Amino acid sequence: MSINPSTPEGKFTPLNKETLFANEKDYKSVSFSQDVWRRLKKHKPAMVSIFVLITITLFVFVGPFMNEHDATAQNYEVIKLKPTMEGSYWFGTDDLGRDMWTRTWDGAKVSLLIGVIAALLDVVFGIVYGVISGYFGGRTDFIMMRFIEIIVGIPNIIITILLVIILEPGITAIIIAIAVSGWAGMARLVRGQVLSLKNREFILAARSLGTKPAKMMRVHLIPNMVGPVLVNISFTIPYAIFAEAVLSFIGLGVPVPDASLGTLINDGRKFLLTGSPYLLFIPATILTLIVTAFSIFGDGLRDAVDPRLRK
Amino acid sequence: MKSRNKRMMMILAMFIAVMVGLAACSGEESTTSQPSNTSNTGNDNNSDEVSGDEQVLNLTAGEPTALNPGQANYSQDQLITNNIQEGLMRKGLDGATLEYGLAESYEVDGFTYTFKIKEDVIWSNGDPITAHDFEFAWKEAMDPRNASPYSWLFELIALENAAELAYMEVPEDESEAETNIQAAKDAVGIKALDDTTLQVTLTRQHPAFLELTAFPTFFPVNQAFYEQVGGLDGYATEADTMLYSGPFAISEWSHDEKIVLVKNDKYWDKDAVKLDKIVFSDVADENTQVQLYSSNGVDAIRVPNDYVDQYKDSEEATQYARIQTWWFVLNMEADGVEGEFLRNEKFREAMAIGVNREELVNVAFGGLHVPGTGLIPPGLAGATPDQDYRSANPEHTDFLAYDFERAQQLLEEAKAEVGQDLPTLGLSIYERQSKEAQYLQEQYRKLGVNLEITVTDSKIRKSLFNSRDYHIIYAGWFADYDEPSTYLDLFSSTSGFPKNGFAMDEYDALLEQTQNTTDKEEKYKLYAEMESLVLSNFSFIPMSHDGFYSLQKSYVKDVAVHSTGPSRTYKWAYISGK
Amino acid sequence: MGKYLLRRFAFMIITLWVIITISFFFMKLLPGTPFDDERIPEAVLENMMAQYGLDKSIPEQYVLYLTNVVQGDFGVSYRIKNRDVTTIIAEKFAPSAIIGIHALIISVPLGIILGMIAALRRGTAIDYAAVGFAVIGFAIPSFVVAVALQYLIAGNGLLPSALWGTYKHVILPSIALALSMFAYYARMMRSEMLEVLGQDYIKTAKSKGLSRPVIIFKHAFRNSLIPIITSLPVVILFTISGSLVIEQIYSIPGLGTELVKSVLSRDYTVSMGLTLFYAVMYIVALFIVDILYSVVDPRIRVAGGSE
Repeated sequence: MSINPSTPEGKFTPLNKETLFANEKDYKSVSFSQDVWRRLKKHKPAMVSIFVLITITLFVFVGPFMNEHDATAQNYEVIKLKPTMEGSYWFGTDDLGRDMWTRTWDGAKVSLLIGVIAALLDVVFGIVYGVISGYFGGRTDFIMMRFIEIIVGIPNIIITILLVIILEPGITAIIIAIAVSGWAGMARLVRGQVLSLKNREFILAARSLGTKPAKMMRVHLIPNMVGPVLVNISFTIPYAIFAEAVLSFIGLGVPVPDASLGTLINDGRKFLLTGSPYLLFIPATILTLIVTAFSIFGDGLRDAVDPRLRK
Repeated sequence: MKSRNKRMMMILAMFIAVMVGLAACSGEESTTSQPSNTSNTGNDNNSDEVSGDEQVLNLTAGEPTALNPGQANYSQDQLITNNIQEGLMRKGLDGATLEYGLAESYEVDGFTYTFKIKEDVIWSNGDPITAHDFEFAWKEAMDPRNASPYSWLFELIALENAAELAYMEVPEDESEAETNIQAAKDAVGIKALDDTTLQVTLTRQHPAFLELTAFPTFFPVNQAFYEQVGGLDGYATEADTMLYSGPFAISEWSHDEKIVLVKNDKYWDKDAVKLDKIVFSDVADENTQVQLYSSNGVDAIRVPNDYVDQYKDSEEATQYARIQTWWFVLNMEADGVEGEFLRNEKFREAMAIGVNREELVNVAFGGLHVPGTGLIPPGLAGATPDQDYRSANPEHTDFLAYDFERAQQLLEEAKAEVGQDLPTLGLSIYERQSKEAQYLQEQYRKLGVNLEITVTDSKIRKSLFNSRDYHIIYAGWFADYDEPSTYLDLFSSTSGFPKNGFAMDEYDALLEQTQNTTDKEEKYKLYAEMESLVLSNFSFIPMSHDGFYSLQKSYVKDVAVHSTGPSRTYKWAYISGK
Repeated sequence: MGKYLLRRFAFMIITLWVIITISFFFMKLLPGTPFDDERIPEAVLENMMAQYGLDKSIPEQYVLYLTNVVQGDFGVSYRIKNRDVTTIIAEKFAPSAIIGIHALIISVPLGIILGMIAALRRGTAIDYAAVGFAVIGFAIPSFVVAVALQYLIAGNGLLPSALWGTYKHVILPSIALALSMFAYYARMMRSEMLEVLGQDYIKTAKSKGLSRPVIIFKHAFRNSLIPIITSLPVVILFTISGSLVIEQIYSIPGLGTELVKSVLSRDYTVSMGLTLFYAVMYIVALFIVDILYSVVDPRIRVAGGSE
């Protein structure tokens, strides 16, 4: 046992408030998000995925400005050019002489946009629906869940195609159609979460203190579901990107002359046999990278959010 | 009804059985796969070891929507009908010359044709093919209750009293309908005088009448058999619910998969038929078609536009002109500011001359199409046999001559006249027109006209036209027969075709005049006048005329290719040197 | 049990009715009619509409359709003259199911084996390779896989590049369809296996001195399979109901292409028939899932299946 020589024995000095709080800061409990981040950082594949996603996002915004070409400008002198440094056609050109570098990144932007917004719509609608259903329970829950079962009984592809045609093909229609066919999964997940949270002590405590349902949902329920919901989003985004690609395949994709990764890949099919396979493989690779990164990241996030679920 | 229930139950039972069976063994070596594929091993049409002597041709064709001649509508319907049935006349090996089909001879007296049917011609079941079969088939095709898509052809050829029957409003009451229709049928100008004599009465001369007797709508149907298999609902829905009068008969029809044609031994000219079998596979995807051709899965395909560069120098490729014009239809009845511009003649002219069609065909069609020069495509018959209509009327090209500066000037004037800025106009296209539409969009953007492309399927297009709810539609028209009136008939105010507000009394008068003119040269002068009336209105702006490459393995010989009507005849085709 | 089945059946009927209603009105919202010829005169078009009862008001058409369906009559196709919807579905189901079943036979066992190996060799190069394959295999769009296989394998004449008819035609599409499922099951099996291996009863088994093969196969393997088996009915349903992408690329006359074709050509009766067919299959699959649960995990009783 050592005694601090600077403090004379038997004498006590008042604590300096500033140093007290400074120390307090060090021991402050780690917030949920910090905790998740700490665990996520240890998950190497997830960190690589984040890096890949950030890089792609960066290219999506910066890429189109890296050369002088416009995504829709046609140049008939350079039709179906192979990837080359010359004239900065790094990804080559398509059959109307448009720069594939710019088109690919613009297309990736559209695909990501569709993925992210469709996923967010799913989240908003799914949370509202799921929380209401789970929180009120009983008859409400029964009816709301039966309704979901019915909706899920209609194949997604039919709902999506019908909606896109009815709303006239376009980015908005595609987003809505994908969101409409995807929210049910999120709603079920959220309801499950609510059911398991409902009987936890802190909810009981809040309820006995007379918290109103709306506040209860906003303050206690929803924040506690952030983890699983985030994990779900990281799987919903690639699903939406895939769905858009399938729509492009049927001819209901993003209207020309704009492009998405789906329409680029679909157009690329015809170039496979005509000596320009890169027009298929470049956008296909980027799409695969995005989807792969999202799903690895999702795995990592799931482990980080709830270590008990680690698999 | 009961059998339907049963079938539904069987589907269900089958599904449950499969699923339970699979779930039970959860992926272990499963026996369910064995019975499920035996049903398909029987018809091994694509196996590589076709015996050396058998003459088999492998082709692609979409699933026919109808093989009842009176109901045949889409190109695949017509292609197959043309090879399994025969009309009074048939187009010969050179693709155009008319030969006698089931008819042996004909006489013309004024506007009345009397056909003599060959004596010994029989259906595939051995029944004789008679003049009555023609009378029955034509009347059945005109019966308004049957709603035949091509019933207007009878009105077009001016068959006596055809319009009264074909366009009749069917009374609600069934017996009343029957009486009215029967009366109208009796009045129609087609009559079998006896088993081998068919009399057709027209109200005026139609230049393409004989050619159209080689068109599927005019093919015969055996009434007794037709009624025996259930009439309209039953005839020609399966291989065994129809009779064959042509060079081939269907031996197998797996819907949406393939149709197998075999030589018809009862055909009157069977010695001319050399092929034993034709297999038409339904391959919707163009890329897959090319893949199949290059791996010898099929013997001939039409080269998709995107593959032209790849194949045009191939020895197996042949270029054909398809008698078709693609045009922009400008809707002069559109609402709003857009409508004001579309109604402005200067604006329309700017649209017509502001685009370089030479570049269009080279960039977007790989040089396959020819630049649009008028409504009527090259290749359609002219007044004299040695010159087609198009080359006889070169001055019409001037309406569409490319002049970018004048177009800009006209556009400015149009804007001044309308007094508003030009809004973005909608351009409705088919998915397969995507490349040329994007080219045109870029060119018009340079001119100062912004177009927004919407891809619509043919169903939507029809309703867009009808509701006038569009700005510009990129449409086309394919010649049904080899004479300018196949186009010029369209633009009369009675035809119901120009759904963009084009209507001109002057035009209608000219059309009527041509119908009553028998002098060919005079008639063609009127045609030229009519064409320039439509062209100078600039509401139909021709862009290009169709052409296509066909890839056909060099061992396939003597396929007759037609530029109007059904696309191919395989009667004389054979395989040599495979 | 009997009461449960009865309730279940009643709910099924209500579900189907709601699905019919929703999809019927949705399809009527589609712009356009089944008849698209630009030249057809109005009079003929009207007769065509009348022929199929499309001239009646939509509520009337709805009641008529419902009455017919109740009697087991699903109508005839508008696109292909006089083809019965039931026959079309029955015919199209076979190719889709054959390819789906082959894909399942390839993918599920292989996925389970790969996932198991990866889990048992956790952290080794084998594990990383397996996980990498599983993740990427799942992320490549199926039409890229299908086209690439067609180009690489059929292009060399090893197998037919498309069409339907012989056993050779089944192979490529089945492989193309199997890849993503293979990847999915490998991943699923790996994570289930890892979870089970971490459970207390496995530790108990180890401490009891049971041999490794016994632990792995008797305990770990069987328990990891539970979620896979219970997920199978729905996966089987989706697999055998046809992939429009694979069917289109390999030109296979299956349900997937039929569905898209019918919607795009406004072939209402066929689209409706297919929707109903899928819905019935889905409901039956869910029912089987419930029963499977009660079989593999006795803690779950059938009557409580809905919770």
